[in-house]
Amino acid sequence: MHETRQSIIAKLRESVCKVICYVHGEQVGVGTGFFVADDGILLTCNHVISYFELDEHGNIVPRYFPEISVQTPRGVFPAKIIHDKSSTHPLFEDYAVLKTDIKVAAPFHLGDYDAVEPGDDILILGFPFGFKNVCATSGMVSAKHRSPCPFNNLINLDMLRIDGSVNKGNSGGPLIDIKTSSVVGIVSLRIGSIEKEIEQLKFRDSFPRELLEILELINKYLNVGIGEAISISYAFNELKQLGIKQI
Amino acid sequence: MPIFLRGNYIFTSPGQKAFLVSSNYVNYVELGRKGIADYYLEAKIENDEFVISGRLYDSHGNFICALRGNHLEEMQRKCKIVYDEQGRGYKVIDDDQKVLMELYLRDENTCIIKGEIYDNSGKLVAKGNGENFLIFKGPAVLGKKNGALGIVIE
Repeated sequence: MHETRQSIIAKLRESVCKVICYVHGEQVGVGTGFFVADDGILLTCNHVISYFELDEHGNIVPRYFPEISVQTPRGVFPAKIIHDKSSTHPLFEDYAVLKTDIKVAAPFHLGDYDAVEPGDDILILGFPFGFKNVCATSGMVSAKHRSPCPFNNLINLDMLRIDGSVNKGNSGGPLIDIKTSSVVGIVSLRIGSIEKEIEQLKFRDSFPRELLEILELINKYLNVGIGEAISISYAFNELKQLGIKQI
Repeated sequence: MPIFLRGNYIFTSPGQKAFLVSSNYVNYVELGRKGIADYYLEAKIENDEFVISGRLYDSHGNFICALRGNHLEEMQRKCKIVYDEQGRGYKVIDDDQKVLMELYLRDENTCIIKGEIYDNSGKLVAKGNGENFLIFKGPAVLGKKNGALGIVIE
């Protein structure tokens, strides 16, 4: 007999945090993170804490936001990136490992992606639209599939398609398998999102800024009720390499 | 007199996944010898996916980075990764903006390897410009299936 949704939410809601990124003190991005060790180590999506920019030679290069903090019910704490930045795994597999000075009573357990099947009930915890309080949404695994990474089609990723509501701000949140109460995926994408297209338009100087702002607003509330989560196994491997136990 | 091979399909067919090497379509490319020579590049098709691994050096024989399953690892400070706007692949460039390696999908079935591949003494092993991938130095293997090798360059 597995735990009820209510008991999972009650047990784990304080182990979910809002990840906030800043540039020169100005908030530029919000996502979700979740603690996986009692000493303040958390996982989120790489795209929550990074962005693309044109360098002085016109190349599109990835960068990390200079200031990252996490907001929990106990306050706001600075966070630093501890995953291997000399590897493309975090970028292409869309995970990030952060460290804070927070003691966590009930960190998430990482589950087995292979044990999840279409039809399984899932639970998502996160901060859609940057809401103040953690929100839970539920659904089921619609499909398991292997698809190209949006930033690099040469890399294929194990993914879960879910019919639970996923919105801007949910990125980086845990996808929980209800039968084991463990995390099997990191919420990463909204189907129907035009975020990638907007990012590409940002690099075209001739594209009107006003139109870009309208597109961003439309994208924020665009929701066809299907989301994607990337298998937890990629982040699991990174944690193993970092020597992080508990999981 | 040099012999040029053009437009061949080696252990692959039109419509199947392949690497484009010197205008030839092949299912496997190996430069150097994995596990024997320090430098190597191996490009293969596994479970219908392109998988590229190797160890890359610059023209001075300095180690730049390792490639494992299309991922760059152990990247040194003197190089950086640059994205393709369309998400088709990526390239690794050095401080002088020289493209050391570029991997991208021309279409769903064709993977292009571009750049200059050097060995660990700084000798040019191969050079790809998008249209052609020229091999200057063996050992190299083009095409491999069920243990049978296609073209072997010693």
